[in-house]
Amino acid sequence: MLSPERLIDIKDKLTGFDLGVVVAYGLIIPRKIINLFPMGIINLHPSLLPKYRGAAPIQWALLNGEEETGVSIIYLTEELDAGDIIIQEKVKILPEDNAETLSSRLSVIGANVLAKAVELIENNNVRPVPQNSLGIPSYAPKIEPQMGRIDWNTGARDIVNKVRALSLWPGAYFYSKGIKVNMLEAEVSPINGEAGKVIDIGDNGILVGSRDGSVWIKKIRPENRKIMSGLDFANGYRIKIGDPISDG
Amino acid sequence: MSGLAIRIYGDPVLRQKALPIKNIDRRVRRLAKYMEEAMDKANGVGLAAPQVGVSERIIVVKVKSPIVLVNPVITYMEGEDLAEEGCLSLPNVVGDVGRATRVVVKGLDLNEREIEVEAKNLLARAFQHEIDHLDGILFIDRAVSIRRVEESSD
Repeated sequence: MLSPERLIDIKDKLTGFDLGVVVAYGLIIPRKIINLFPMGIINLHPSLLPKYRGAAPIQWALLNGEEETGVSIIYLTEELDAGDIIIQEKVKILPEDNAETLSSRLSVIGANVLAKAVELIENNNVRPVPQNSLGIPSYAPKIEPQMGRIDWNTGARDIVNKVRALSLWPGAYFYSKGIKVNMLEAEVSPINGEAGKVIDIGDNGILVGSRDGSVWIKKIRPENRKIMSGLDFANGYRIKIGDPISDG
Repeated sequence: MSGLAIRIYGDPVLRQKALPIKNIDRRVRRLAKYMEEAMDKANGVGLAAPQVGVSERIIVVKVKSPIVLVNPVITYMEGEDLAEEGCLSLPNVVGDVGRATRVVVKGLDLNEREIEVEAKNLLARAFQHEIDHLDGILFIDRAVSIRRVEESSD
């Protein structure tokens, strides 16, 4: 397995194979390299292409609150994630999923589907499906660190989806009393309350109002501290009902 | 005369444990009257003092006729029934709450006489809901599920 910075540097090592397999490689692979493989190069992409082309398909599926995603094995082309589909499998997204749990499930399923794809190619049984026959592409660009900042003036559902989507990196966070607090687990409540204000504190955690509904902060990690429950955070940091949850 | 404003979820008073009332004086009788008016105005079947911002143990319930109870205590409960419940302090949500179907409640009336009320079904539910308020407990804490209801225009 190779993960070079410049593929052209290892061109000599890539001769003598029938089929190439690319998984989680962020750069465009030039035609010159693709042409070294008589049966082409195939690529595993963790989305139902043509949806969520790009660097962060799992994160964007969660950000958008999708209830289903999947894995696609495609032929690699020079255009990013645009090649014909060899095989595709749907995967349910559970309400309790975050980027971590969904990624690990998709990678297990992806490995199986990849093996199936190799078998299809070996037996000459591939009927490639052009992506444009399945719909209009959507894009899942790279996640930027500032995307993790929580805006309590958005809806509760969006806030919780952000916590789920950015769980691996960079985390969804807010600042409380000068401390950056990463939200690890959150839940939507249908109860309305003033955006950004602490509505309730209890065993379930800290309930904070948003533009639509409210959010139970269930598990957090203040920067450079240990993971704790929402309730322990409220007690330890003297957060009270009626307080704004974040600074400024 | 301006009515008492009903405190909404997010107000810390709703989570406080209310204090017993020592003397049933003019102030308490006036509070009971205002609470009854606030309950009627909001079409409620019960109201507890914390819901109008007073952290003291007094409730009013009204299924048929109004009952005021000071320092109420449930002394007997039986049966169980799961039914939809709401709260004037939590507009726009309801939830299914399991409650005893029959209760006996003791307390003082506004003349400081000890009274005992036996209640069934909706009245029993109302007593349990209002007495919970005095301990900072809300129906959403006991509900098996909560859901939003459409905003009403009143």
